[in-house]
Amino acid sequence: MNAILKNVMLPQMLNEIMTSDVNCNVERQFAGEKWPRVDILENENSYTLKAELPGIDKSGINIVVEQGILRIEGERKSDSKSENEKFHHIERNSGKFSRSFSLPEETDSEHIEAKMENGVLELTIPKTERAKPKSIEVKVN
Amino acid sequence: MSTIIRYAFPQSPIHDCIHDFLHESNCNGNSDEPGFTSWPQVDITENENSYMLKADLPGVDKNEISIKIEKGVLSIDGEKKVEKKQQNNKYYYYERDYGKFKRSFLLPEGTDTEKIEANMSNGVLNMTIPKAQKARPIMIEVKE
Repeated sequence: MNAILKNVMLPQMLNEIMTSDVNCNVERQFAGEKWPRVDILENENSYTLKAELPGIDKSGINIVVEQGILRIEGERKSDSKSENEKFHHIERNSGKFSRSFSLPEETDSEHIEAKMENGVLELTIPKTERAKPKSIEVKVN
Repeated sequence: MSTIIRYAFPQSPIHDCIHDFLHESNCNGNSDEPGFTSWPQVDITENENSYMLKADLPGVDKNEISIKIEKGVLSIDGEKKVEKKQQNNKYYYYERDYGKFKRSFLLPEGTDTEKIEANMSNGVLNMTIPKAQKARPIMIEVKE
């Protein structure tokens, strides 16, 4: 009974946690712009989070799991080389970023894997064995 | 007798957008063209020798990007495809842009279009558009 209630009350998906991190790009947060942009999807065995972080080295990204909350944070430095550079268009984001998501209960946070490719951070968050769907074969004697 | 006169930029509205260096070429009617998008986001900067254009294209393969120069307009277009293995998954967040993109910019006069270089690194397209020799500033030393 308890287990059923829990499942009804807790949404299974990863919910974004609004952080009051004063260090991140406040201006953009007020403008309602989410940065980095993410896709989160689910298959039978895991959740996948993909975040667009072009031009950011993997050493500049921190991924922390704390009390069931997954946080991605880092900084994109403006890469202007010389002082006498003139700016014509500045649209790309720069500065600090931070986004946090609550992990569903049935995830195995010990085995989260992260990789960077082509400016996209991909996190694979495996489900616990219990949460994976199982098909039971009915044997006929 | 010819003389050096003070140069004034043309002020007519038609010329405004042409002389605005690397202005987005919406003024030639392209904005109505299907597929004209506000992404990728770009930075355009200039130094003494060249213009630099950076476009954020995370997750786009370089083979999916085409860069074209026609009548002084630089166009970057391509397509970001959804990965096949993702198509059957259940989505919770879907914030990333997918599909066809296109952005065009008027090149300023005095750029050397033959020597434009482009490379992709970490999901960022970097283009260097060199200025023609005559468009570069020349320092003249005052002799005693």
